[in-house]
Amino acid sequence: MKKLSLILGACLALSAAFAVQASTPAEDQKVFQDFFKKKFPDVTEAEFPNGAYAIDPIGRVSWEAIEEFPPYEPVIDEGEKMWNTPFANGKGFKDCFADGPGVAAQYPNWNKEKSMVMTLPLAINNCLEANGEKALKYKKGKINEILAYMVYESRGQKTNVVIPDDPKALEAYQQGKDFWLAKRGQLNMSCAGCHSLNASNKIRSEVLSPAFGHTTGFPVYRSKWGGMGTLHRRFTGCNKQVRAKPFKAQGEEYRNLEFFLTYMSNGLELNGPSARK
Amino acid sequence: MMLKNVFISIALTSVLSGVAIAEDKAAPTVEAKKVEAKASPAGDANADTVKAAIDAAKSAQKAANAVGGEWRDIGKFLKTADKLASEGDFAKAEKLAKKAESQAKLGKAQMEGQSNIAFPAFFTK
Repeated sequence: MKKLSLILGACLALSAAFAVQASTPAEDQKVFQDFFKKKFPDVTEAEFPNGAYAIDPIGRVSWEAIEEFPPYEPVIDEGEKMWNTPFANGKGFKDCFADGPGVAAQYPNWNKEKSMVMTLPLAINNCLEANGEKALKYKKGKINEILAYMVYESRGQKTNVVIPDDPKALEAYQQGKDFWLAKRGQLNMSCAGCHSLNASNKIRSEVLSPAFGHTTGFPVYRSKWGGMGTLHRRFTGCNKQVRAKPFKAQGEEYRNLEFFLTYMSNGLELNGPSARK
Repeated sequence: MMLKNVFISIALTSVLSGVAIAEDKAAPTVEAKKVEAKASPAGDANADTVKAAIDAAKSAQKAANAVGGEWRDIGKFLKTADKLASEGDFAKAEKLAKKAESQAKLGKAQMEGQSNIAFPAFFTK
């Protein structure tokens, strides 16, 4: 009898532990956003999309100077040309994106038909391929032009990712969350380790940015790259920095990570394209 | 007296040079050290042992990759090991392949158990 009650007690304790872990996306979002608001009480919600420049006054001075003549401006112009140039079959991007170019706030979304996370770059390439055009590479190059234009046209819209009550969507969300929290690479570091508890601390000479607002400004012109890059290019760089093998851009891992991370920033304004160090 | 001093000097010189010669014989030359280092720790490395080490590392790499735990440099180590083996530097090739295998095993172990992760406690404190 004593053994039985011990076993039952252990089972209850275990189920209680698991109950703590099983949180809904909405609960996660509240915990996540409250954490950053509490950690940075002087940073307004409108400032979080500016990343490290919301918390690093010295870096902000340089960034504001760069933003006076934004290095991404010609890229937006090129993107506008792409948007207005018909494909070989006479159709164009406007035939795929009926609401016009300013639709970045609708992505990423859960595509029930394909049972997968759909991102804006993936939707752009789906459009190209459906019209007999060659798909663009996902990290550098021309994808950033069309993205920069579409994101620029979406400026001011609020991040509004919806996680539907669909087991597969919830699974994708959880996989994205696991990715963000898991320690990886030879340096045994997680996205969360750097960009939550250690946000505002320095890693070598750089101030670590808070994760709240990470997704609002892409694509970005990064001085280190000397050019534009997508969010998945940045994910790749982060993974390499902790000495983990990066995943394929627009592969399931990074799409699910984008799904989770963008959902965490719901409510923040889109401010891309932007400039970063 | 003078003769005695000369005799002692000659004797001492002989003894000291004898010691030096003996030391020279015992101490390996720089080149010998290099060869020794090349051959060690995989002193018996040959084409077959290198192939086995590379195969084992590739298999561990595949297992790490399957759980999303492959580390950045494993592929590079294996490529270099292949190149070294083709150049006949079996000892270095085997050492590198073993390093790749070890990293792959660590990467796999690191990722295992990291699922359904909850936010760390500091998020709510």
